[in-house]
Amino acid sequence: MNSQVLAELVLAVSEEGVVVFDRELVCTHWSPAMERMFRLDVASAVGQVMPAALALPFGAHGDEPLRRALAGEEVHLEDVPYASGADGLGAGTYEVRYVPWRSESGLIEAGVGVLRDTSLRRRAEQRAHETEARFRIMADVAPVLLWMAAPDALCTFFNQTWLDFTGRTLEDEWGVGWAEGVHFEDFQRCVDTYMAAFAERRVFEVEYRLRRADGQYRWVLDRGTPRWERDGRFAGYIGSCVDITDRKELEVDLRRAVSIRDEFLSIASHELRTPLTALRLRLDSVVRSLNRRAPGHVDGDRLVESTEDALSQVGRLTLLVERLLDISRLSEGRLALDPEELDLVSLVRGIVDALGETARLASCELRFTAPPTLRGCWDRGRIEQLVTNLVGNATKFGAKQPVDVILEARAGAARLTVADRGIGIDPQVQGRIFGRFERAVSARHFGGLGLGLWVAKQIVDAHEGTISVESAPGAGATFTVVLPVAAARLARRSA
Amino acid sequence: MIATPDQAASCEGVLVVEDDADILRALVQVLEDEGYTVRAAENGSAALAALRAPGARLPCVILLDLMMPVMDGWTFRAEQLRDPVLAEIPVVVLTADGNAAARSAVLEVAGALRKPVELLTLLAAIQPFLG
Repeated sequence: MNSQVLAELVLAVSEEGVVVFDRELVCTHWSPAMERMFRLDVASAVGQVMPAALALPFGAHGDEPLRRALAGEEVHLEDVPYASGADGLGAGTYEVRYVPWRSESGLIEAGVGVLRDTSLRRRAEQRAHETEARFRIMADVAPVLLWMAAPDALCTFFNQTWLDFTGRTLEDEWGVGWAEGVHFEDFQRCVDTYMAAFAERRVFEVEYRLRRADGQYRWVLDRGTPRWERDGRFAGYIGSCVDITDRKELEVDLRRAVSIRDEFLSIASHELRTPLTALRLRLDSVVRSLNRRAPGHVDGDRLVESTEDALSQVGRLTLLVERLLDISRLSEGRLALDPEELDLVSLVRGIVDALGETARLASCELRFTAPPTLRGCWDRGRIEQLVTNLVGNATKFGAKQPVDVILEARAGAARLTVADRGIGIDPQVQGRIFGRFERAVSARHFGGLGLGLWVAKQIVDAHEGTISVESAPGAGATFTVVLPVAAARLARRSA
Repeated sequence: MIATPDQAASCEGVLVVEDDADILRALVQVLEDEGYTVRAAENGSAALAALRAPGARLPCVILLDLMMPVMDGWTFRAEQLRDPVLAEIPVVVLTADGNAAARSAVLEVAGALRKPVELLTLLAAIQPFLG
């Protein structure tokens, strides 16, 4: 292959365009790559004066670089924009090197231009830049905290959401700076998880507390995923953090609710077993004495006594079961009342008299103070339940000291005070004693469902009244209930 | 833990420690019907007072509830074991607690019964100590 053929072959396959022009700027060679770039065939180009005569906007430089090459200079231009073809579709940029071509005598006979189309590279760069910008915008508006780390595990990017959350700058967080915001109790676990995952290049999840700009530590769930270059090289990690504090708190509430329910079930079972125990013993003893003794020698009085006591245990069980059913009814929402016009004084006196017997057994005196009458519109059954619960508690926790039950007429309302001189209530638990299943004392010492005060509050609420407690440990407890004489809602219902 | 012959000779009946008045009354009556001498205490503290009363004869067995106000059964048992005069009196626990057996192991008692208890089971548990 002679050099002429070789040169033409090289020019035919080359991506770089080659143009040769003589001292008058007349084009003498126009390579195939030039044809493609400028969409001008060789026949149209050769013989024309460059560049204007080619009808080409050959760049902003005009013929000046060509003349410099002809003057012996090597001219290098980058990013020369061009538009080609009648339709201007062949627009782009090129870089070019113009060199002088000398004859054997050393005289400059022509200029040679070697052009490379840089449009594609520039477009790729532009696209990469736009992709990057789009990523930044998306990252910054995303509601999650985003981070990126280089292959050396040092963080190189945090989105605006992250920076707003921590209230720190990118420079603060850069590298390992972000770890300063991790709660010290979670720090080691967080860093260990992170580094272990990094070493194995695997996806990881870790929960830790991260300091927010306001100084509060928030639980975040951090998920990290390894990134890979197109050629398979490890490129680091990208990760996102979500604030899961609210979810965590809900979980705690839920666990507490479940444990309260479990405790309640165990207490309810205990409460049911107590009357069952007495009932069982009574019935067993009846059967035993009937079996053991000849019919004529059965102690009739003892049998009656045992059976009556068994029946009273059945009553106790029935009451318990009704109370348990009441919980689900009350839990469903506002209590439905059946109000009627009644005298609160005679109602409360009836309860105090009925409970007096039990109170006397507990060596506790019940003292009742009230005006002659106090009329209003209330639900008789529910008010009975309310007063029974309060007075029952007072005798139960009253440490054998007198209990005062006081009724007073107030402007448009009735005020009931139940005051004992017993063990009192720890101030720390006073806030929650009206909650469901709450008890101020250990179930180990005092039985009961832990529902009395909760039920009392539901009843008072339904009557649009208020209930409050004043107490100190060892100094007794005073419960005060204020019931409107006729709550608007109730008056309408009873009308 | 079995009563020594000395104690067995000098002891008398059952001490029932139970805070629920209905159960206490029922227990006292059914045990009296069996011919035993029965004393009652409404909590651990009252039981200790009864046991330490001057001139009182010690019971042959104590039937002990666990969940009680003032002094619960666990505390009573600990106090009893600390008192050399009372420590050897056998105790049978009667509780509504679901883990009666596990509880009794901790308390080192002679037996544990779960409420509600059958009368015959109750009698079988205390009879060995009553001669």
